[in-house]
Amino acid sequence: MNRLKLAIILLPVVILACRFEIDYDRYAVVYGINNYYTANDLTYCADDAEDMAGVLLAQGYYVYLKIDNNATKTNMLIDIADIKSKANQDALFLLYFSGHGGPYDSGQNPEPPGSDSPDEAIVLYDGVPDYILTDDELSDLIEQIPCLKKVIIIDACNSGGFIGNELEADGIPQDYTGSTDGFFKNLGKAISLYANFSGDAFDISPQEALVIGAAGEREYSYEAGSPYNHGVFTYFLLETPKKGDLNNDGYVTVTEAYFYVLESIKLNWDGTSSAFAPHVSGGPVDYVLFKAE
Amino acid sequence: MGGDMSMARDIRFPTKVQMGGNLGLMFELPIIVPLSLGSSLAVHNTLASSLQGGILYRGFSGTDLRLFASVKGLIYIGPGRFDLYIGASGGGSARYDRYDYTMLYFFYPGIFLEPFLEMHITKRGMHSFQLSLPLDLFFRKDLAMHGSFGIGIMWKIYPLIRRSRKRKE
Repeated sequence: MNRLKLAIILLPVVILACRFEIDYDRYAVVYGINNYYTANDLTYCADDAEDMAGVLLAQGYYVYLKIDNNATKTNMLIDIADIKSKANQDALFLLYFSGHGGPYDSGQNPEPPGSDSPDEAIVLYDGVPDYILTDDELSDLIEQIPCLKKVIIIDACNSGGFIGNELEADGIPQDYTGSTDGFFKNLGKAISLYANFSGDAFDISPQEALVIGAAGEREYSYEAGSPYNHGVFTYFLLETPKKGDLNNDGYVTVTEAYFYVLESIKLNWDGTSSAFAPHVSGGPVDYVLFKAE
Repeated sequence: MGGDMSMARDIRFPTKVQMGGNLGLMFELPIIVPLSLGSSLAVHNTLASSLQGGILYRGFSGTDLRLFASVKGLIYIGPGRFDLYIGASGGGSARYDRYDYTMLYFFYPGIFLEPFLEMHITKRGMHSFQLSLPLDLFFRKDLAMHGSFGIGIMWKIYPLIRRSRKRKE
């Protein structure tokens, strides 16, 4: 009887001890560009970044927001250097970008198995040649940040090419047309990836950062007017603090946010002629992105 | 079927526990008493770890194929109703999984050791129940360590024994 009483007393203590609270710093670099100096203008990317910054501020992130002509490569280097000087290992670093992206053949950097040969890049505001930030440059840049938890979210065309998975076969084609590859179709590819794993990092490896790319390596992402008035990907991403807690544990992880956006795009957008699908990094770990609202 | 507790450790983060379960079919062929060889095919599910520190190990599910050798010895002869054996199985496994909430598939091999107690119901001759404590070590290339231990319950049917006994009758 005494043991039962002790167990009843200790149970809430054990539960409280296991309860998770976000008690580390979170830094977010948020860039969005509508009005380009060097490329055709976009319509909703600045809104994407502003609304994303609002969500992140409400969640307790320190936000470095840059829009249009302030969203330069120079400023991104400055912002990241500032975070590098402030953040510790326990902190979380997030980079969000909404704007142009595309393949960029630097001819210098190897790509992961099964990927296209050119690098992918995001297009910042600065003039030629500095406006391009390739996947490998971004990997080198964030490598300097001491945080162990790093997340990159890119709402741009071809942004799936930033993901450097080496052990996972992706069931979503990089040029998605509405169908995915099933469980057994990827078996041979997964075995081959395991057998040929080199340990060399390509693009942004899951060990460096978890990446969510709005579109596959060989496809466009889209922005649209009403009811979206945002990038389609970002429109659903903004909903994830409220709707993305898929396992009801009170928090939204990177993978949950990804899956919520993927399913929402499939359900609401991919019936159009402009189907696309987001992609995510592999790897065994996941990070808490938001507290569920 | 069984339940297990796996331990995963990424080189950057602390070790965490993940709970899991499995359900499968096994085929076993007696070679020479007390040795038998077998294989099993199972589906399994491993839940995500806790969120402590803002990191978690992803949940995943998939299939695993096992090839094993098994030895067992009689430790108790029951009064006409059952015999009790103790033994161990050991071998290799190949797993093919998908991370929860993704379409990312991955493969990894492993080895395992599974001590067990097996109760043969001798009156009917073709059934036994096995209680085991499987210990798995997985060779993941993206984790510094990944292993599991658990408890398994198995119901075995011996159709060939049944047929041979009928012939003798």
